[in-house]
Amino acid sequence: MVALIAQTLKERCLLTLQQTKRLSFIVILLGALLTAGLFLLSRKNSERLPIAEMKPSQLDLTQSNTLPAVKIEAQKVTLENSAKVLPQAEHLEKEDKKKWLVFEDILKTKNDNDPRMDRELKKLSPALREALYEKYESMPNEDRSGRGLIAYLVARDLNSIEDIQFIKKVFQEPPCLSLADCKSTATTDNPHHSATDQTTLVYPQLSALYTIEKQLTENSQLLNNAAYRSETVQTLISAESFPVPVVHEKARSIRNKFSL
Amino acid sequence: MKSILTVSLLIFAMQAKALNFDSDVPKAIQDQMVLDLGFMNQLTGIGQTPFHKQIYTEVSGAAYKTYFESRITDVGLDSCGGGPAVACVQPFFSPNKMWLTENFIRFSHPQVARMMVVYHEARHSESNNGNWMHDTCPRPFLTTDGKDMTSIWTGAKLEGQPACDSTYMGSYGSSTIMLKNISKYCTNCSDKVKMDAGIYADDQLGRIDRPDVKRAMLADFATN
Repeated sequence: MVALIAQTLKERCLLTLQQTKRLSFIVILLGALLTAGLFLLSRKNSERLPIAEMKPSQLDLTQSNTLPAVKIEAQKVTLENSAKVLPQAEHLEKEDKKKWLVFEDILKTKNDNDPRMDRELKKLSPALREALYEKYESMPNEDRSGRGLIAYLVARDLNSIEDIQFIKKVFQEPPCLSLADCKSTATTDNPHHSATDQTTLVYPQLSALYTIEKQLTENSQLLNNAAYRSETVQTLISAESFPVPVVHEKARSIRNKFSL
Repeated sequence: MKSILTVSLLIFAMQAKALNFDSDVPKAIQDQMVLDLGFMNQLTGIGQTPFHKQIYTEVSGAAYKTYFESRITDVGLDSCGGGPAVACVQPFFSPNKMWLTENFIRFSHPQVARMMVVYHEARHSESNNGNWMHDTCPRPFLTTDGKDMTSIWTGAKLEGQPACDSTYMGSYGSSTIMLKNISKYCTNCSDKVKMDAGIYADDQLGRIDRPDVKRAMLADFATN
């Protein structure tokens, strides 16, 4: 009797499922849930051996096992810096003020691929440029990326004597000796990534040079203007005096490329 | 068909896990890493060089995401030997874990440079390829104009250091190839990102110590 009832129920259930055409869906769903469950379980069970939890510095027995205290100095610098009153930026008009906030946001987020960079930060007004020069001077020298961003924004649209003078100053500043402190040479090198570190040390200078090169490549007619040509040559001569080979070599290669 | 697609997406979403950060990784470092990887993950491009295709499959955020996440699942905090180090891996102990240092946000590297270091280190996690251990730089190791390759300010020579690659497939080579391709083929990169990719690719190329390999790479970059 019980078997008969069970058989009837089973048949009805199957019939219902077939009618609604959901059987394949439920089977796939159950399979998916089972897979997900097994995945989560395997993650939980794959606990590492204690040795794998040790940090690289702890595995190096020649060095102290004590981890250095974490100090987020870059943030402090940014905060202190943002608290400074920059007269030029303070007095920007409405449109420029909007652009200035975009610039500040990109600087803060360090998002170099922010589409507003190319959409809103081109063809900057003289007032905004003045604010950028001022910002550059107010930034810690160690903020290589921030300074490079400003050099880039100014160099990609050089259109005044003030711009040229600003870029020349970038090549006249003392070279940054280490990422932690521009005034002193690092006691140790990390040969593994030293090329990257050294490129970042001269990033403001390279940023300006690569941008000038691009501008000349895309708008070679600029050089027909005698004043522009002369100022560009003077700027590149300044760059050639910068005491880091990669900078003066790049400047020389641009002069050769454009017969300047 | 629709239900199968829905279930497949469900499974994919559940397995597409985010990076696991150790609890002692400061939030500022986590945020920057997530933002930077987000930058890589949304890149689009048209075209690529043959070497890039071989290593990354295409210039696209999806490809770079797959590349990174199939190698690195966990992130910890360490000094990585001290000095200016930004990131490192210890593949013999924990091949899928990357260690970031406080320099990741303390030092002011452009975004492309941070990501180049991170992808360079991810390449070292490949245990099945001997972790792409670096080649010892030759003695002497000279620049194109015949001068010793040295650190600018400390004067330390690179010759004899395990800081070169003799193949384009290694960490220096693969990161150079990635940056050159971003610089050339990225369709949604800002002009600055493209410029930065070119600047930092040039410095990485200097670590390829076999002239024939370097020539092959330059020929690869010249392809359309």
